[in-house]
Amino acid sequence: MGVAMSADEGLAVATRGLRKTYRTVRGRRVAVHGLDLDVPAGGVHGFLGPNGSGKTTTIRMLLGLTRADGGTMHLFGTPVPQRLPEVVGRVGAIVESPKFFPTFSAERNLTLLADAIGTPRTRVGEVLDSVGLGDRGKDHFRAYSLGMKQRLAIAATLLKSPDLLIFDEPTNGLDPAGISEIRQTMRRLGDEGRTVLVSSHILSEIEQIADTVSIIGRGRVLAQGSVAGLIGGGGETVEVGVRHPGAAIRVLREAGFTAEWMARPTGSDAAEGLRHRYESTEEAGLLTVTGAEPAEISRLLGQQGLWVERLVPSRRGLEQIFLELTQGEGLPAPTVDAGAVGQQPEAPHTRTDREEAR
Amino acid sequence: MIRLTRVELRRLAARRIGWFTLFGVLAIVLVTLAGVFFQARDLDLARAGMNEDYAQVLADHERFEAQCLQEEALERRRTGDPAVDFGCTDMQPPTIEEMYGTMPSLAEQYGFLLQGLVYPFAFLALVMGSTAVAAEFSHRTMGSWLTFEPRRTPVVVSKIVAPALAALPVTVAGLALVLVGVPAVFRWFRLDDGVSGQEWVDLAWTAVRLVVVAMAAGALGAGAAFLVRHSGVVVGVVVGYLVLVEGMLGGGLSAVQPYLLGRNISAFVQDGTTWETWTNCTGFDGCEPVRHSLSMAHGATVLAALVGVVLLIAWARFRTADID
Repeated sequence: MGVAMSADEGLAVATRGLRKTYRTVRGRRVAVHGLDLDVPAGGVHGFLGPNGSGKTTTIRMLLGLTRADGGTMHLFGTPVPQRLPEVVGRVGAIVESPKFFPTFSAERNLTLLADAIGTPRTRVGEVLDSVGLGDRGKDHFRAYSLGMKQRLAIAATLLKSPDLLIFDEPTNGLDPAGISEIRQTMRRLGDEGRTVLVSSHILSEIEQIADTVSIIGRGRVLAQGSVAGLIGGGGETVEVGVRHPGAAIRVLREAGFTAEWMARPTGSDAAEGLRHRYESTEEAGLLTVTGAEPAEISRLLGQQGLWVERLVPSRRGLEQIFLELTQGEGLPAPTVDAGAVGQQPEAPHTRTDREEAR
Repeated sequence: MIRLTRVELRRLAARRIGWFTLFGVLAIVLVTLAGVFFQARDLDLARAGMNEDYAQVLADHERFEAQCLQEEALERRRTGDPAVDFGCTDMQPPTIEEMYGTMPSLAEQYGFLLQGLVYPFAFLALVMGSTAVAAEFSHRTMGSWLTFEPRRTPVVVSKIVAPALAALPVTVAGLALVLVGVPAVFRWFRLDDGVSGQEWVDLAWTAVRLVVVAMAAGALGAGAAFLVRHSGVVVGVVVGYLVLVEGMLGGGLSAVQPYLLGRNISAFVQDGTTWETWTNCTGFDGCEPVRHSLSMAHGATVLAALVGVVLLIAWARFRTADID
């Protein structure tokens, strides 16, 4: 780890140049590569990224569970992991799935944690009540549903009355009711003035509850800022259904608009193949067009004999921004030779950086 | 540190492995006491002439002697030599002591039991310690725990000290059952249950050292679980060591005997131990015995070194390990 730098003002979490490489039998896998993450204090912050992009590793490093190979981390201005014990009382975290002793009751599990941190045992009942498990506290953890386990984990984090709550994929495996419940709980915690850092790849849930987001891919921050800023930055999108979509794209692009295939291909080769098949069979296709009014699109395509079958204006969502940013940034994570560790990996489809996003 | 250790003790008390260990210790003591009871009962019945096996042996002997005398008389008549002697009366029936052994004194009996019980007690304590820690890795609660208490050294120390402390009441409960059970058996069969003051002192020290070994085994098991993270692996390593090193290597190489775990546990608990090896086995008179001995200090040193090294490595590894 480098020398601790002074933390940015008003940030609950700040990392600079954070790096982690795992050694595997196949070589070294870069999990986090120079991550500069800023999580403002207060509110809900979405931590987005494809599977394998380094979200959980970053959280584990912040909590001292995994050692970083380089860079600095601060929680409320305190360098971690060097001085983590000083600040851990202000941090509650659930990393991946809730983990408790299955044969212990919820009460006993929480009582042991309360005893460990010197919290009065009366607090156990309070936090169980706060997550709606007050009447199920004597049940064994193993008898709980996944949603109840998740709520119990949230209750455990609340034992400390933390200023920062870190939830790693909190809605994984939950049914719709459970997802809604956890979402409301996170939003409520954020409204109470706490900082909630929630990692997820379920974009709709983040869009609904987060005030700010960071989008990462291959262990680097691709964009971060307020949700409104990110969504608003891209302008309005129009979904266009048309025959001869290849020709339609050419027409729209020649007119200076951004036109893309709606179902984004996962790579350039795949994209070429898809485009070729559409053009040769003259099937209808769906496009997304940015920066143009629906009437203008209709007029341009009509002049070329490309009749529009569907024209739906839509606001550019977080999902679309995420897909644009993380295209090609998901699994598999880069595996590099020992000598290549530390070199900047190539980012094949980085569309923007966080400054642009802001 | 003390608070964390208290929490770990409470956790251990709430877990089944703690109770399994206690029940295991008590079960082993009860089986051992049953052995003492049946030995004393056989001796008692034989003395009362009520032991069927012994009565059968006596009857067989009388029948054999009568037959022998009959054949001797026939031979005398046939040869006319009154000096013919088959030696029929020379053979004596086995005594009760020869057949069933002598019942040791109460102090000796205590000594034998403590000597024998130290190994199962230590093994159970080791399993308890390793299971307590390994379960935290298998349930992946260790990571959750560290989000509440990130200081690794207090965490590892508390999780090692707790099984060691938990072994104390468990072992003492087993010893208490021995202390009560053996005299009860002796009184039941009206055997001499006198123990001198010095014998009580010696026995008390032996018991204390037995408890120390069990506590060390609890800590050792916990430390080993920090290294391999699975209680099955810990038990497998122990069993493998017993078979390969203590059994095969120890049986073949007398030079390793002073460093064998079992030998050093005996030396520590019994205030020294002795054993014999054999040399010069080429002569007509057979082999010559060579007597070896190990002091209690030697046993204590070897055991402390073993436990110390394992715990040090466990601490060093856990301090820097990535935790799931």
